[in-house]
Amino acid sequence: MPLLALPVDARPADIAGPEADHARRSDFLAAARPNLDRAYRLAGLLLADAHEAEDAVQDALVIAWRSFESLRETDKFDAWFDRILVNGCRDRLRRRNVVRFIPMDADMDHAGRDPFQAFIERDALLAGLAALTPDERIVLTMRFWADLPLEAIARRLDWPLGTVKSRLHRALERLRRTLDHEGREAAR
Amino acid sequence: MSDDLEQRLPRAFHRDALPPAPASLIDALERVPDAPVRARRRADRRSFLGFVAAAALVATVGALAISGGSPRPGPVTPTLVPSPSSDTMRLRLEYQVLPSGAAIPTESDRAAVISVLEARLASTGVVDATVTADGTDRIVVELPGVADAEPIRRLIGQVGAVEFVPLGSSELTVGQRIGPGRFAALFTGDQIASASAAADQDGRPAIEFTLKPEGTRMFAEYTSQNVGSYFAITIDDVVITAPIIQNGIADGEVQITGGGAGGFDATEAAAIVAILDSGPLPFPIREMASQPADASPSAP
Repeated sequence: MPLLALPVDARPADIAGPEADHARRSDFLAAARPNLDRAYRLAGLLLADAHEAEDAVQDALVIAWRSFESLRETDKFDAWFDRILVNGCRDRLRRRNVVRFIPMDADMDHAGRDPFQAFIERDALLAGLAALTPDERIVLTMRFWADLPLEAIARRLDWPLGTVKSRLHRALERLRRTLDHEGREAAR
Repeated sequence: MSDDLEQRLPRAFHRDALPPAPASLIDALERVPDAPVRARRRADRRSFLGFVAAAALVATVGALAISGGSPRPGPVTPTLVPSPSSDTMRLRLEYQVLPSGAAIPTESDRAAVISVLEARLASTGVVDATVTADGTDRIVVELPGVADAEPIRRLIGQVGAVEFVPLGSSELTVGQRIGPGRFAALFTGDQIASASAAADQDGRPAIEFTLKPEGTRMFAEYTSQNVGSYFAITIDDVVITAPIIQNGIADGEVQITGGGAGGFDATEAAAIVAILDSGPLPFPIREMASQPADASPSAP
């Protein structure tokens, strides 16, 4: 199992000495703690699944901790962590092939439902996200939930600005088509 | 139209409050720096849940098959523990026994935890490990020096609650965590009579187990009536296998094999067997600071 595999050259993190390790540890926790709610919500919106969101954030935290030295300015933690987290969520979405949003159904019992799925399904507009590709959903969420300008999204995700623009455009087009289609179905 | 959507989307996203990070995640963050550095062999295959939440036994994704009977098992030596290495020290791991819900562990509960841990260590071939009570709520595990204690740590830290879970038409991925209430278990690991590491007909590591009479009956009834449905076996809510039921399994003899390029390796098979065999911890435990046993004690 992958979890049990550890190459012989992998060394404990505290090899640099206890003091350096202690400082690194407290810097990391101080930077990560204030971002936890936001990260969890972002992952939840992207994955529409609270448990998977928690797993995704944990995965991202572990990656962030391991490469924390590569982050020079800890005040940019949120942007740096977003990239790690969004890439992880994107992998998860792609692995799913289809995004498992359940369509709105008035008869559905909402008690005990996943909070993110329920949040998304409460709004017909957000429910339309199910029709989007992972990248389209990511860009739409970063733009309209995280309220980030296109340039900031491009920097955060390391996507070319043109790619951000075209994905956002396609996402809006697809969402509009989905809503139009559903509107026509409902009007029948 | 597009303008309209661009106005409506922010409102839709912010209409209701989203849940904050759950306590388990806040807790997990604090433990991230304590987790040893590890390699991500196939980052797309598994969750890190296992070691930050001490919960997961994660196997590889593959075309998994579940089958009745025992097709030519070959002996497989559990290989969880690397040979002691001369340049490593004896490792001391300290655990705190935690309450389970409202239940506070008593002295005899702690003794029960210790005996499960002893059984797990014994079944994976650790020589010369000791498990002792310490203080009011601590358990100390001392291991002979091993080059890589991480598999042992993971094995010890897991509650190890095994469930047999009908999934219906839901296809789950190995390593995925099943949220509470999402699926109802048919029965739990207490219906396992015995488990062993084996090999499938192609010589790949496999896990075999035998169910008790009640489990055999339930499994036979369910599998015969639900051929074509998915069925998962989970440890601490993490899927270790989630195959399609191909035929009714009448005799309670089950072999799990990983197919495709992945599958179980001998190490993970040994770990799963140890869990299946030892049963779950009656109370969860949390690893406290660990250090080499012969390191000089430092002031707190």
